Amino acid sequence: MKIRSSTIFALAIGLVMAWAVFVAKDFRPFVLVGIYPVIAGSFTLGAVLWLLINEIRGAGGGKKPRGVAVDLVADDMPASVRARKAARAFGWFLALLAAIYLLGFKIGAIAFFIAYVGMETRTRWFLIVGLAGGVVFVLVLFQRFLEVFWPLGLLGEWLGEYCPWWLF
Amino acid sequence: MLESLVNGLTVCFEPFHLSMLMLGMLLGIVVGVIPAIGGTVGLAICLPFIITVDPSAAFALLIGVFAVAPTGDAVTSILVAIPGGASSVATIVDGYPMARKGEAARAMSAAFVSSAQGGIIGAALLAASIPIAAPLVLSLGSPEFFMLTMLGISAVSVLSGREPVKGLIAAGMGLMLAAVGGAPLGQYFRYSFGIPYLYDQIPLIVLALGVFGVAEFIDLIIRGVPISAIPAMGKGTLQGIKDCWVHIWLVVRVSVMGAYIGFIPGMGATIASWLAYGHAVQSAKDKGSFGQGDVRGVIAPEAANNSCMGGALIPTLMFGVPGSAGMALILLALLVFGIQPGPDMVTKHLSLVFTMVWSMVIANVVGALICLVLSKQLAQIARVPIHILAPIVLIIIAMGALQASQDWGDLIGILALGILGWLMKQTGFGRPPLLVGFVLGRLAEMYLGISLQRYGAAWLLHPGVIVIGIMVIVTVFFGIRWQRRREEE
Repeated sequence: MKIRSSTIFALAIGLVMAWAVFVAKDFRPFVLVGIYPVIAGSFTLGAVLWLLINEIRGAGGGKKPRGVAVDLVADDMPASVRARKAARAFGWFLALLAAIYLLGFKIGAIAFFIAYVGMETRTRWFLIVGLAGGVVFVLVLFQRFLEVFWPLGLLGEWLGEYCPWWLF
Repeated sequence: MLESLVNGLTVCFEPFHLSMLMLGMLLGIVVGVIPAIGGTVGLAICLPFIITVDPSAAFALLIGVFAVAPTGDAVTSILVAIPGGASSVATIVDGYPMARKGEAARAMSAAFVSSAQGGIIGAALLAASIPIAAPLVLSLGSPEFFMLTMLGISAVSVLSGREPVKGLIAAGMGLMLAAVGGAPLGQYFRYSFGIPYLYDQIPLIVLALGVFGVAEFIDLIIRGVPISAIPAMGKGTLQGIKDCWVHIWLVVRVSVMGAYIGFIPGMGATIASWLAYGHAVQSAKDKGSFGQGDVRGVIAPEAANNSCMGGALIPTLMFGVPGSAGMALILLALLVFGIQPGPDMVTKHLSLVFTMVWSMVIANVVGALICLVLSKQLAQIARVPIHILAPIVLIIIAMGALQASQDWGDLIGILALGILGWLMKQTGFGRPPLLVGFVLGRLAEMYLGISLQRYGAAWLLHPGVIVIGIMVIVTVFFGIRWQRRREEE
């Protein structure tokens, strides 16, 4: 029997729910704090078992996951290729977070944008710089007129009072 | 009351009030069009700026943002299958297939006009309900509210995908994610692992941005295709407008439904849009085209998610009970101005209430007109190459997430939830049920706890509980049966 990725995912969810229910039985006072996660977790665990039983019996075998349009998958791409591309994409997102942590939001975001577009596309460098300028403009608007919060980063904290507002 | 009605309209046309309303509308369209930001974040961003202005003008700005954001939400939902906000997820089901068939213009014009129609009906119902709202809400108790949350969760779970069991599992995951943090009814931190960020509930914005925003853009990057495979919007704008009048009774029914759903605390526009979609399917004689690009599948949720605001304002203004994060921000604004929700709203501040009603009407009509006129310009976002748009949107998503708790946990949260959302997408587990389960989870727990404390097990025998319980069973049973028939076809 071929084990599908959805089966593995459901199994993982089932294990998490089993653990959550096991932990929740000790929450006190149980009626106020524990009963909700026990009921919700047990319900979810039951649904997982129903799904797994159906898949073992073959009721769901061979069916491709067909959800709503937002959940359509690129099932023409081999799983290994998709996994590799996913790791790369999430790696870039992690790089954005790391850049924000080190350089502050504004500089980190611009550095991420330039690095990503430069390395992942064939866009010419003057266009990349121009687009980056546009991103800077939008961020400055948000900062100046909407006063959104974003972290200074290690660089901004190191600069302290010498930290220019337009750069951070 | 008539005098207040006229006064409210007069105030709306004062220059400063009108300019604040226009500013709110434009902001609402922008936050609606930009994926996964939505009206609530737009409201949160606007709040610091309204403290020094006149209350009626301040609420004009807030109403403008919140009333029109669901209209702008539809743009990316239809064109690129990325929800502009949680309430526009249902629009994707038929809106995106319509766009792929070359009917994007028709879908968008239908969405905009039905949004305006729904918004107007919602505002009218708000006005009509003012003198009679109080006894209605007071007749429902915590057991009935608990069952209503179960009805909302079950409807979304079985209707949002082809495999209802996976929808139920996703909803359960949402319910359990809602259990993380401090328990609402007891001094206990659940599943926090000693991490201070997890002592508070996972922010809804972080969940929505991670599970939908990050996951969707990561998937688009992986596929490496243009954000929209449609080269042009196509024709059909007038047809979309006509569709809203051909199906006017559907619009009226779902708008009334949406306003009533909004009226019930905790239900909100997300539930309203899904129940409206379900009603459109169940009431149609020809159900086969739903999910393949049926304009009724766009009209119904869009009308309902706009009319919902009118209903949601009733418990917020009359009882100080906000039914959603957005309504909580509206309530916060009231308190900032020293205005107490409750009986004062129908006596001392009745003019302000009607000002808000008229602002909703004007915002919905003018907002829809702006979207209709600028739909091609708004649609240009779909033509931007994905490797240019994705990093920009990811930056905006990160910025939006940081506004939730202003904590690094927000960024780590959207990464973790983005991975979860992506895995769910790959394995066919619907994400809308997870969002709905999360939103309603806390409320469900609170209502359950209160019900058990007050009534013991006897709450299960309340007539309202039994009636709503039957509705839950019917929804799940017929939903699963309908899905199985679709599979066989």
